[in-house]
Amino acid sequence: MCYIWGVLPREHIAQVLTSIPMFSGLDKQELESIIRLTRSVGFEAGQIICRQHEPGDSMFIIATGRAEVQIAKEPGRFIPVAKLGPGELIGELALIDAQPRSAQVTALSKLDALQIMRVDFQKLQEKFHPATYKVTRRIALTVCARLRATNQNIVSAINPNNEEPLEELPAPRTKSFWQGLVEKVRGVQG
Amino acid sequence: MSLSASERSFVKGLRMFRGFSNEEKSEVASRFISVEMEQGETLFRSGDDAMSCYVLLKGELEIWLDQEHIHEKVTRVLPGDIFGHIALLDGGQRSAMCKAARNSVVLELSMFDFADLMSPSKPMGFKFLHALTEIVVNQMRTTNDVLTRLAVKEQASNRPRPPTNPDLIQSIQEAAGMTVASHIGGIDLNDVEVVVSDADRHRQYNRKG
Repeated sequence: MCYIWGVLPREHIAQVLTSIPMFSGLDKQELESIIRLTRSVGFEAGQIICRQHEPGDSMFIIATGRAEVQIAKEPGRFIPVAKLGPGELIGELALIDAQPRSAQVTALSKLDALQIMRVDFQKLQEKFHPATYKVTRRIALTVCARLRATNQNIVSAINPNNEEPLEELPAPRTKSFWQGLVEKVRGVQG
Repeated sequence: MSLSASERSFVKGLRMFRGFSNEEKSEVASRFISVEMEQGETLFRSGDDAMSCYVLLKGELEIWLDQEHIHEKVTRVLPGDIFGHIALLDGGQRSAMCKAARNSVVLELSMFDFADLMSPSKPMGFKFLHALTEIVVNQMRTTNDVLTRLAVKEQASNRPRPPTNPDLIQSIQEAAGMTVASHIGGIDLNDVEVVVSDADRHRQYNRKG
């Protein structure tokens, strides 16, 4: 179990939040409404912050410390895929829906974070609070950007201009991740 | 052409509007128009400015990558699917081409009506934005599930590593960011490769030729 911090100074919480693009467009009152949703939580090194495949019920904003993102390669065996530090988010899409977490996140050191529960965000949303509109819109734009970038990477992978010269083809038996993905998609489509 | 009673009923029954009141559903349905498409007809092309988003009512559409030197079918659109919404959400251009695989009917929502329905000045705007966000988040989750499965599978292999392109890797890492910020996007693609089967290699070779 994580431990709950003492109450942090509001200025400190505001400083953490405004450093994050998701909250940077909020005015003072809107920011205050979001601050009221946060609770301060802490984890010791080695503690699991969220588990892969469990329904996401909240997001975390790392204030201090470091964490590692891990994906299950097989049951019980995880491979690290990224490291996170102060100002980075964990599970922000949990504010939108309750889908399972896509990865496990473990504290690498003593870690302090701000947690926002979806249920609390939704209550504010049901009151049509402008802060929730701005945060949701920011999430939507971020996701759109990621989808577009993914699309562009697939284009790059199948663009003949980006491929290796013809004469080098028979030697390497590997291709890029994106080329592999393209082949899988083609395979699915027959 | 404005919608018939059955077409309005179709829009009101879409899952994305499940949290809307009956009045709100009627309001949304009144903004759509119905457009008939013949097989082979193009709805939009890559690079077009986005003027509308759509829901497919009948028939089947195809999405093609149609950028320079590329002409690849990437997916199909089936009745009930919403599409073309990303460019209206982010104000960007079309990133792919859409054409009719057979005679079809699409329901079109103009960018002006889209913006009006999504306006935060009305409660419905909050619901409309949330519904669209759920859709794009779901699209991203689906895409990233595929990427993660591929990446984990391939990372587990001990085959020789392919040459890497730092810029591409960085953009992939940004692109593949998923549920937990850019976490999955943090996969080191130096460690990711896909082995080409002989059949794939032959096909690749032919395509390049």
